[in-house]
Amino acid sequence: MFQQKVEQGADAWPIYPLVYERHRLLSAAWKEHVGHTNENKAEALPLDVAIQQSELLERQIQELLQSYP
Amino acid sequence: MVCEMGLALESTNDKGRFYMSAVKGIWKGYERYDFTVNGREALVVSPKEAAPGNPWVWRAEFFDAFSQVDMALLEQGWHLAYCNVSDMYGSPEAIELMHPFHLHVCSTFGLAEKPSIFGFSRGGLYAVNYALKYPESVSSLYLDAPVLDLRSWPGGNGKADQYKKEWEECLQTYRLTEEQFAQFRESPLDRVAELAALQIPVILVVGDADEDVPFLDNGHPFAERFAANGGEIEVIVKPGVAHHPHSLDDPTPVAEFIQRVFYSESETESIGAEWDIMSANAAKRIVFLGDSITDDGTYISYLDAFFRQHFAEQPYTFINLGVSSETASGLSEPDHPFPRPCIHERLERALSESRPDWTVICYGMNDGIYYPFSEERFAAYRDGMDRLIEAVRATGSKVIVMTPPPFDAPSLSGATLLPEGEEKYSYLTPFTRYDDVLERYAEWVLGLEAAVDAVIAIREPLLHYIAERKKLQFRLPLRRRHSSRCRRPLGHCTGAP
Repeated sequence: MFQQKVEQGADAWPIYPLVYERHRLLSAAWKEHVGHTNENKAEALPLDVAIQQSELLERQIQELLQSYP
Repeated sequence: MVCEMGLALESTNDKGRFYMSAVKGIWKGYERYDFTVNGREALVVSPKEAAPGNPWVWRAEFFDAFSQVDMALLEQGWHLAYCNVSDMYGSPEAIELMHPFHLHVCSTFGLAEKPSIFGFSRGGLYAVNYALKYPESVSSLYLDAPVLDLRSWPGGNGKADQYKKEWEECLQTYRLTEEQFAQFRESPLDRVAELAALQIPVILVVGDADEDVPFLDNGHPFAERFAANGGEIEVIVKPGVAHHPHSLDDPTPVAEFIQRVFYSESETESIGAEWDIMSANAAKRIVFLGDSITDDGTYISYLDAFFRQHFAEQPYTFINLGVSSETASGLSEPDHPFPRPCIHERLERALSESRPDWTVICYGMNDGIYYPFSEERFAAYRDGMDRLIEAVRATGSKVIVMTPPPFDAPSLSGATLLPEGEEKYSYLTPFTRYDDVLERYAEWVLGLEAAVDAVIAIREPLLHYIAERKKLQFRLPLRRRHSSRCRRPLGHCTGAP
């Protein structure tokens, strides 16, 4: 079912843009929080700040989920 | 055809005891087992080497007739199976006889739960009716000049004449009189919408000059309704061809369709099964370790969105700790702008900070450093992966390992592909057949099943996906494919550093 949903257009799911935005926010923060040796560092917020900011996106995602069946 | 050898195998396990009651023979160079299930004659033909997941073809009728697709799949590692329920016209009684056979061959031969069922001619009745009754047990349907409406055949209420003997036999097996049959609405054609809702993909091959089982009375309305109800169907019409010959001279399009469906499902089920386990364990933190394919985040975001929509009751957190250019092996090509990062440099902190319940690992793309295969580099990859798995397991986390995706050299832009024998390679100047290296790495990862909690084979489904996207083959009006919009569910699945 997952693959079928993706092939039908995962990026067209109403929540997807917000999920992706939240994901980028948190993954950059997590990556730099843990540390790594790739010379190209991500532009990232401190992890605690990123988690705080992600809560707003989380609320928006939940509202969208409630708004369609 | 069958060379009856009556071999008694010596194994004492259940499988061995079963084989002792079967007749083993050789059929077209392959091992064949003939046996009975509930008094019905049955057989299984084994491939030389079974394909991953033990896929199989179930011929609902007419075993070995027009078997181009059967043979193509057998050669590629699929089992063939058949159970004789002839002259029952796909009746409920026939379907109930088919099910024990299904269970029997799955358990005895270790075959996949979901076969592709082939319905040739009247076999279409069995194939569709079985899928309607046991939808969870069917991967795909290949219908070839199928009977899909008993009124048309053998009833003769369409463009074909009535087949008197078969019609009487059909009424008898359905336990209906002529008058009662006038009200009968249980032919596959009557239940198309129901079938489409089950999301079992169908490939239909028909001749448009079929006078015995007319296309316009069977396959055509079936395909139209099936597609209209959202079902996935491919239709291949053979202009000017009658009921015979069935199948295609070149079975490739059908075989590829069946394989694509099977391997797409295997991937999905693998993820689904793991999610069931995770739910049962109330797991909440799923950490992803990998290179740029993971760092990109697309496939993780898809998973995140998918689970939010379909498993909203289950709390979880996806943590993406992928880092571009990273390896498990610690290798780095001389021309890389900086030494490649290695997961082992940060693993301890990554695990202690993220505290995963489940860890998903995907490395390999960078580990061959874009050179031709070498035992030394391969050993470094295996060692790096083994140490990684061991370290993750030591934290108490479950481990899921993904095979590296394929390297699709033709899709690279800005890179110069180099032949074998060059002194140096890099991600900007990769070995032209670097995918051969990844194939060997993926094969090794598939063998890790005993060492980890799950292995997800993403290589084969992605190869199929890439191949499908590249095809410019003819498309018929009823052929319905997935959208051709460009997506990269696995990020740089076509190969990037």
